[in-house]
Amino acid sequence: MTTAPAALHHPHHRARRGFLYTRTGVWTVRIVTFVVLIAAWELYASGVSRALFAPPSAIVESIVELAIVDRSLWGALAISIGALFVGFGLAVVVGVAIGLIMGRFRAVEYVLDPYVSFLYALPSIALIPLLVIWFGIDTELRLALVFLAGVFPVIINTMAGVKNVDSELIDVGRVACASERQMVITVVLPAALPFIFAGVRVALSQALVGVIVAEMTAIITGLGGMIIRFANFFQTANLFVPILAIMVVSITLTTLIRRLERRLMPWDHRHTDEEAA
Amino acid sequence: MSRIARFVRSPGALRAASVIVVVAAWEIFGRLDPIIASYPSAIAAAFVELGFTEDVLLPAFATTLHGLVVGFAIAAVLGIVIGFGMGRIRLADLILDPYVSALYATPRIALVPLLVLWVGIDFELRVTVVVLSAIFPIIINTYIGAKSVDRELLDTGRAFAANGSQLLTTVVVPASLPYLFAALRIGAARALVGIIVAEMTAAVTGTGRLIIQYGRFFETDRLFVPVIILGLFSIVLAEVIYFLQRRVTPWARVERIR
Repeated sequence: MTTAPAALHHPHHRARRGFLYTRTGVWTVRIVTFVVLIAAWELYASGVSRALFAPPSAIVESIVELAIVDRSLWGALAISIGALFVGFGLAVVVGVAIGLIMGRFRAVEYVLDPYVSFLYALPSIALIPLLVIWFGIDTELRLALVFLAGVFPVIINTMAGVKNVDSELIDVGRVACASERQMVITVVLPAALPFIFAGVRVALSQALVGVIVAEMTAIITGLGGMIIRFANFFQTANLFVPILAIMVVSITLTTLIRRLERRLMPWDHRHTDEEAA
Repeated sequence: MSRIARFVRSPGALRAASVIVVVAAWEIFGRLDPIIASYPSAIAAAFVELGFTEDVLLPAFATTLHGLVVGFAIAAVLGIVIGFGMGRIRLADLILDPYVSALYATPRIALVPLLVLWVGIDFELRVTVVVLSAIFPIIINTYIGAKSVDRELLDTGRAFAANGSQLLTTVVVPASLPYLFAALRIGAARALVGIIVAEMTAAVTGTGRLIIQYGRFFETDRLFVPVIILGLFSIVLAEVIYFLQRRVTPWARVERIR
């Protein structure tokens, strides 16, 4: 969302007809690619050490083992997702509130923006040693990191959205004698929603990174902890399982947010394909 | 409004006042327990010590920069080529899209242990992590740029009988430049995260190593030095790309949403 977005699809323009534009064509290519990839992987992996590379068949065995036989995957997943939801939820609520205030009041913006800009730019992993000193190696550390990873994209995008609200809408609100509260709830927030969602999407991916980083480097637990443990014992086939689980979590949550976005603002398609940060 | 009142309410004055108050408060309260947050004068002293007396700052930063630049250059070239390829060639789009999206969604740090098995923990690892961190946002934004080229511009080009490569160089690339810059800016930010992740978790060298080392020994004043340098460097990096963007594409409206 850095540039004036152009319409991405022109369905009304002449549609190029061809096999690759049909549903059958799309799925043929996808399935063939997938099969070829898996087959090549299986062939290649059978020639190298199991400690370095695991063939898809061994990874499937590991999935069965960890998900169905000893079920340890689900416990780890619950731990990671729990931390993600709490930290991310806090980041969204606090981020929208701060962004709203910074966007509405110039003085607050200037007072806070040096810190917001700095902390937004700083890779949040660099804060881990400091957070360890403050919180110890405990759950709070993980929540703090997830929160810090997620809150700044939300603040910055909310602020941008609030400042970007069409001044005519604001004038209409004023003419109707709206109070500040009414103005924020009925005009500013809905108008800023596309920006807020862009921030929320970035925040989600950053928060997920935060959870995994914390679990891999400071508190060895959850999916991140699983990765570290399997890597230390060179159990490469097992190692792929938490990685795939993280992928699935990430794709699922991103899809859910996009659904919610389309539900809440069917009128807006501008920010659906770009990223803010 | 009088001149003084206007100055007091100006952005610069408010920012300066805010920073002065925070630094002063930090200086006073930080002294209560220096391990927790240290204080600005101690951090400044640590900066002088590390930067000049012990001379560890510059070599560490040079190491980081080396991995960052090499990795980012590879990611930029590959990412732009793949992004344009996917944007212009339907088959490439269909083949690559699921994997690009899946890897884009995956926190790259999860791959670090696997990469350690494959490429060791040296320079190659750092470069690989940087490439993997930066390349997917670059691919995706380039792809969107290539896809969003105005149909009418393309038709105009075709009307002038431009062939494929002429169309690419004179229409598609210039029209998607704003997206390319967005791609590079996001890519650069991700590349920086990647190099620090690699340096803090596996490679243990450069600026990331300083952060780990001072954190481990509770030398909070020293810990702040590489952290602050990193944040400032990240801001400068984004500003440089904004500057280039304004020079190269003066026609495009750049929404400053950092």
